Amino acid sequence: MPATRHKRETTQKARALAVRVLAALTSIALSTLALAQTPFIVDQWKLGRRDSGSTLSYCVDQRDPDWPVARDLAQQIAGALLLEPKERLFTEQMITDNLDNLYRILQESCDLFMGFKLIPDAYPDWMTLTRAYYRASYVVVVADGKWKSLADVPRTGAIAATLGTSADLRLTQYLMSLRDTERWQRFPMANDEAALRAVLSGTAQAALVWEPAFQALRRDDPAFARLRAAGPAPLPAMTADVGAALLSSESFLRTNVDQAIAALAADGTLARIFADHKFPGRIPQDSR
Amino acid sequence: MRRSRLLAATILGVAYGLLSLAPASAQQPAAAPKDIKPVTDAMLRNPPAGDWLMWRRTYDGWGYSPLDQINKTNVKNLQVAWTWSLSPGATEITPIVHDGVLYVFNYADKVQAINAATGDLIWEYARTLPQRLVTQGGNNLAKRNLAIYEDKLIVATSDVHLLALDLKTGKIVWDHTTDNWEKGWRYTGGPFVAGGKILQGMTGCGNAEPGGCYVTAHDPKNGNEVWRFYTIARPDEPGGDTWNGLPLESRFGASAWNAGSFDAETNTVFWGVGQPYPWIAEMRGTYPAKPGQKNNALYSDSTLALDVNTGKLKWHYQHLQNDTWDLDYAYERILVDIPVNGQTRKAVVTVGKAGIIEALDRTNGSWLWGRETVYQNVVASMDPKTGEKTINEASIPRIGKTTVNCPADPGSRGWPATAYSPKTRSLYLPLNEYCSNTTPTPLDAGQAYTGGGRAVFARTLIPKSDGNVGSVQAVKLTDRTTAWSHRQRSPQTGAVLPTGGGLVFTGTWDRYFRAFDDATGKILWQTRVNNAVNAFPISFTVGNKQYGAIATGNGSSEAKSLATLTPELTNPDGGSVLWVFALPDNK
Repeated sequence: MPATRHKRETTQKARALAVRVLAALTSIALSTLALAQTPFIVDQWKLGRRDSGSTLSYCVDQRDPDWPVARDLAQQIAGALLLEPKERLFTEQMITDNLDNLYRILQESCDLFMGFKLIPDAYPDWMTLTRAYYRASYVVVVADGKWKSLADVPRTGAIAATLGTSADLRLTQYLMSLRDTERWQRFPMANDEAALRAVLSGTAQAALVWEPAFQALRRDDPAFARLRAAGPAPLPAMTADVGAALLSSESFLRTNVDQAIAALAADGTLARIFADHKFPGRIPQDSR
Repeated sequence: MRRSRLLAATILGVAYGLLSLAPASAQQPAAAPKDIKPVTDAMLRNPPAGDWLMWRRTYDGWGYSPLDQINKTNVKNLQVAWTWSLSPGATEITPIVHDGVLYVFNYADKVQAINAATGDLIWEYARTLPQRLVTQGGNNLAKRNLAIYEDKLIVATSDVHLLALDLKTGKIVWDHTTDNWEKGWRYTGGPFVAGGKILQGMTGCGNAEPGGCYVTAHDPKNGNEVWRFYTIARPDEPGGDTWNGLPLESRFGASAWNAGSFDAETNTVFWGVGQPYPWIAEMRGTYPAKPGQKNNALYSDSTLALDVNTGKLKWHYQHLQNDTWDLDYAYERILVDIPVNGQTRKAVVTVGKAGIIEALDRTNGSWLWGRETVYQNVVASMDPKTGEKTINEASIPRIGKTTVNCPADPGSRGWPATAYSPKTRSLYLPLNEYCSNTTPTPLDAGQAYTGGGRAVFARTLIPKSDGNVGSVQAVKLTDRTTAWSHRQRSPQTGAVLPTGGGLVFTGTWDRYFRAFDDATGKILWQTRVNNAVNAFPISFTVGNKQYGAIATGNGSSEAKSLATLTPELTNPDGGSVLWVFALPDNK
């Protein structure tokens, strides 16, 4: 048998097996889910059972600064699983969204939703996350070139922090440990862009934001070019790992996606994607 | 052969024609009452007893029906007059009834006019909502009330439009867009007509759009905006210095998510405002107070008294400063004259989520008194002169800790309204008692999936609970004593309706719709309906016959949150119905 034909048949067999296993597991998963505490979905019965066929459906959200990287990675993951990638791109205008909506999306159209931070106890039982495919930092951003770190920002100034992030909570706790007169004022902001714009406008002297968001805005809008990252001190370095969300019931898929991420980290694919996009993410050691 | 085929075809054709005509005439009884009079300002000021023309029936917000044909003696005979299936989903509506026509809002923006005596459909307006909005679903597609004015039905839509529909046909007369639904702005409360204007409160301010929410007034002729009052004080305006030095970009929340009340004598509209966002004050930047700064966050959790002609603030009273538990004061304002220290005072009475009844002087906003109802641990005491609350510091959620606050975030009372009966001079309250183990949590899960609360609220029963969650209480506003209290395991999810017949109608999560004796609290009648009673009961007449109506559905987020405390009480996923009850004709 010619080598190419053998390879093609093996691929077809593997793909067929993957489809059958995925279909069976999806069926079991949906019946199990009915017993679990899950969000209410209007007309859920209309959704039926999603027929994934030989595809891996992934969702990316343009509100996430890493979405071009996530798109490339999701396509590579699909390839590694011998599945056809199928994309759904979200272009919402709302700043925030809620996890109940994510439940519907995962039921309706995505096997994987890219771009979720691995935060302990932050997620409901019906969802889970893959292993991390990148790690990035929260950064302090300033306009004044003389300030090498947050410690150089006068205490009379204000820090615009993206509201509710792990870094923001750490900043808040740090400020609470200081006397009134030693505290910077903290301005909670709706998102990274609002925090950075507060620095541009002079409303705040520093911003505490997610580095991928800062880099994406610098790349896309020249107004942000005059801002630069400073050291976080006296705060410690703050990082978060990012993976993809999927339904908890998709344990088979999760195992395979985890293995695919590890393989893509090990063979240099992940690093190449990051380099292509000049992305400030790093590959977590345990993803190699 | 061909001729016989032609003949047969002709006969069949004629027969088909006759058949198709027959049902058409049979299906069109005189569904629409012939005389639907325009609703005037005078009618809104003094509505006919048999009509239900606005959210709480009258401008004073009592939610009281003077009808007495159904009374303590005969309520045991009450039976279903007709039912009407509504679109499935959260169903919170207060129907409007005028001249024998009942107007109802269905989940996801379908409005119907129904013959109030027979249940026959007169017309239907079905809005085509953006698909994204529909698929997201949830409470935002429910509405709590409609309004009626002149020859128009006024509807607030889920995509943030105000519509005027022709009362007789349901056709759109005008359509006005207020804001961009794609940014999260929402209407959940409905419009309120007062002083010749349509007033509407905005919600959805928890979606991180800076600057908060607002109340707008609109011209009933075309929907054009006449004035706007922002519920978050601007930095350069009075009250703007109450946000701990935060810029406007860092001020969020203060939804105006229910309709108001109106004092026609003074042209004053009273409106309640919700909490600031995010709920945890430490995250929000308003706790602790910065030296030299105020941090009470106006006008969150306040009663606003607005000039209906200009939108100018006459006075405000903030019931809860710097709320950090999601304890809204966004509900109905009841205008009632009550004795206080031997004098009759023109009061505005309201109850926030903490379950504390508070009375203000509605002429100037001064605080008159406050009274607790169910267990709470947030307010340690109230200043007897000003009402200013001393907070139990242990109940304040803190980053890195788990604290206990009672009630939990859905509140001792939620949007299901209290009501006042002039017969008993009592306030009737739908209440629930429970607590929350609250843990502020970073929720920067995805960039966008950041949620509103930014905390985990693990809801539990109150300390030493007997297992009962829900209750209905009657409190005499004359001396503030409890006339009666009915406690039950099931969460109390329906608004209350006292009537001239001496009854108080309300319903529960476990599908009971009940009539209590307004003086004793004895259950005089009850029936089991198809799904949760989580809306506003009304009463009306057609001809000389009195009816009662309540919409049921699978519950709002408020009801579902309460239901987590009683997992054994389960309801079907779907099934929204408008139930209409009446006495049998021969009784």
